[in-house]
Amino acid sequence: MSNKIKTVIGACAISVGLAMSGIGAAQADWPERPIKVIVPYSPGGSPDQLTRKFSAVLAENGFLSEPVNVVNVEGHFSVGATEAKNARPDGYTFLFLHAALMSAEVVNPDSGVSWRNYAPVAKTSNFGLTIVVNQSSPWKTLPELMAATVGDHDIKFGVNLGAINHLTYIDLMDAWPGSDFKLVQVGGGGKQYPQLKGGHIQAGIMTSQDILTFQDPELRVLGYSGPARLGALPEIPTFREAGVEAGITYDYWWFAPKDTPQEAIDGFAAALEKAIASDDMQTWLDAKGLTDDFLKGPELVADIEATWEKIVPIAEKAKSALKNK
Amino acid sequence: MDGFLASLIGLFAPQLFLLAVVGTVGGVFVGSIPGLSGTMLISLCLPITFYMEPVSAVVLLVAIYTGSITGGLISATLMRTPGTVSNVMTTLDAYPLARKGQAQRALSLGIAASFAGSIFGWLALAILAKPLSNVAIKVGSAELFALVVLALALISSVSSGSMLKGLIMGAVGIILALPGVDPTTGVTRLTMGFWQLNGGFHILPVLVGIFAVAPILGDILDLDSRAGEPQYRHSRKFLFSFADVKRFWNLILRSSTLGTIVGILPGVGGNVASVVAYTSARVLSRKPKEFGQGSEEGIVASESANNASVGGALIPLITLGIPGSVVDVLLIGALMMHDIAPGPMLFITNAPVAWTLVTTLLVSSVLMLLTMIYATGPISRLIGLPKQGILPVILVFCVVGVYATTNRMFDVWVMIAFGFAALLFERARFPMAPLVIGFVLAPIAEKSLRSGLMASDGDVVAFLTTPLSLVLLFASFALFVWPIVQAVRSWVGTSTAGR
Repeated sequence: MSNKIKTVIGACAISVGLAMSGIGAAQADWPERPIKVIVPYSPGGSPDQLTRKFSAVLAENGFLSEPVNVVNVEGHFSVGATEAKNARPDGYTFLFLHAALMSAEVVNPDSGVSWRNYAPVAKTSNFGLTIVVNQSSPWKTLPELMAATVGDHDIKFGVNLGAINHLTYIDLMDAWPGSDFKLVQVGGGGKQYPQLKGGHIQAGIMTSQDILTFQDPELRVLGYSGPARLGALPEIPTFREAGVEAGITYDYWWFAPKDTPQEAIDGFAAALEKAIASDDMQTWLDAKGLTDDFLKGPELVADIEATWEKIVPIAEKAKSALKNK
Repeated sequence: MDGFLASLIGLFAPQLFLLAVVGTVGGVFVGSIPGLSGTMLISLCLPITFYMEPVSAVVLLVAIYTGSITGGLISATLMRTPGTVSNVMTTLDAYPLARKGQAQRALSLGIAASFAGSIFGWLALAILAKPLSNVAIKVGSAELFALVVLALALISSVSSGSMLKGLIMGAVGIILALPGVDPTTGVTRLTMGFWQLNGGFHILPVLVGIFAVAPILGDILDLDSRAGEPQYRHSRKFLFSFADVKRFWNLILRSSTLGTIVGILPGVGGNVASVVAYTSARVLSRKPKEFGQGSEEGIVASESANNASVGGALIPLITLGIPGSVVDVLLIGALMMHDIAPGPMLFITNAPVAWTLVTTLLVSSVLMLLTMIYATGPISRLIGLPKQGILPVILVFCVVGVYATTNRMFDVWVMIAFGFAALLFERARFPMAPLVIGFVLAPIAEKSLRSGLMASDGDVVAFLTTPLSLVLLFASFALFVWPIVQAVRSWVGTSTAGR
């Protein structure tokens, strides 16, 4: 028999085998085909990296028998979120998002988003924000910076109005009566950094991940909004340790379209729970300045409702601040 | 210097060199096909790079970036459809020149200018990265606003034919940029009830619709009359001589400088670079009338600027960790997955990766030159196939390219709608270049204006007290008004002469 014919027969045998295995899988439970996770942000960003890490850990350890494909939908996050809401609830489309979802429901009702539009699957981790000034600035601690703004409206603070860093800013202001920065629309952490370095703003707000990204010795980080110091940034005090009674963190949630089969929700949540507990994931989260925080099922629902109660009053203040812009 | 040489030698290791070749050739290929773009190929390759060594990932991605920005030149010249959004301005002159029977000349000019621009950008990256990025961060909202207004003012001078039509299209471009997220308050606006528009119009479907779908539709309508199409016989002859070097060095230097500067500014890439260089070349040219009719200067300006922007855009990336363009965001993502922080400490904590970024740009620029010289033949033969065969294929690529980048069908419909609309406008002799300028620049202008006003408590005077922005705004006013004054003058002149 010539080699060519052997190859052809071999290829046929493999294809038949593959087809059979496909039939076998079709009778099994969820998942029986690849799962799509919509990340409503551009590729390369922090939410994108996190979902792709999960996707890799889930596949490498066999926590899920089918691959998890990350699909980025750019523009405003409400676009991807609405795509997920409208997706067929077959257990193969999920959404990955944080508290921007809640903030937008209050601040930007036209965007049409609401956390009640989804079936919660799990929360896996959370992150806090840091207050940053230049090394050359006169403020060595957070209270010093806050005190300097009382009666002086000229200290410029970079913010992304209506977004989560604005919420943290309001939380901080509430803790220090009389403080009054001059807010300048800058955007998220990546955009704050050059503005800060160029002296266009005197204080900025970034995620712990941003701090770890830039690793710039010329920056001075005055405080972190989380409840405890981060392993990756042990020298940075929490807001409370620094002497300001404030601090909120934001959870990363996984949602499914409403009416997704419970089997798929439970299956995915269980796989995520295994992934977050793995050494690989733990090391990675630590290095990125993220904190693992897993919840699923009824506890998750209660937790999300509690978060909503906490976010609404702050977001209302953000909304009234926007009216003047 | 040791790091540079070590990295350069390292690049010639078989595996890395192969990646550089594959990346550059792949980049040229996707770049040359209308609809497919380097950004798309890079985002498709991103998940693969997570399984590579960091250095390999950087080599592959930078090589694609370099190749893709040049490949678009071929279809721009031969088909009047720019391969990528960075080649839009090239089309305006390369295609008319090709129709005059000088396709080979147009391509040679484009390739030479691309290479020169690429090397210029590389030099800036390799030598001046640190000081340039220090200057870049000093550019505040007021200066950025004035800079963008200057470019917007050039709409009036870039419109060939009717000035009024040019201004109308510029305004249309600005209006199209308004729906979506309000850049200051983050609130969605002007979405006309479409939640799909919450993020505004994505640049890719809009530009692919206007510059790829519309010409394809037009070609389909004109299938029976084959007159005036560029007759292209490929030859290896590279029509760029020493005399050209002498003639264009000044223009190349100017355009590459502009391209590099635009590249350094965060978030704006090759498309804005070529728009700015092209318009300034026209303003400063001795033969501005030739622009749009097959001006060699137009091709050189556009292609050297868009290639120079690649090196420029990498400057804030390696010195500050800030993306200078959309592709850079993807590059940062690739590095972050490997726990490499692109920032001021990059050369200290991850020197091999930092140097690889620099050396890959150089090596892939040379590879790009070779690829372009040898690939132009095969690619042009593909383009030379009967149109009824090739047009549907390209249309499919447009659909695939847009969907693969944005991941939603809505954008495919946007692309098709813009294709039909642009066809109508073109047939009515409305120029498309001003629309692109308005669409691309208006968001930057709005954002910097409003941020600047917040910083000055709403005081407009702040924009006039910064010396740089005062000069730029004054120049913009003069540039905007001058062509209009000229037009009115000649109109008055002819009407009085007729009496």
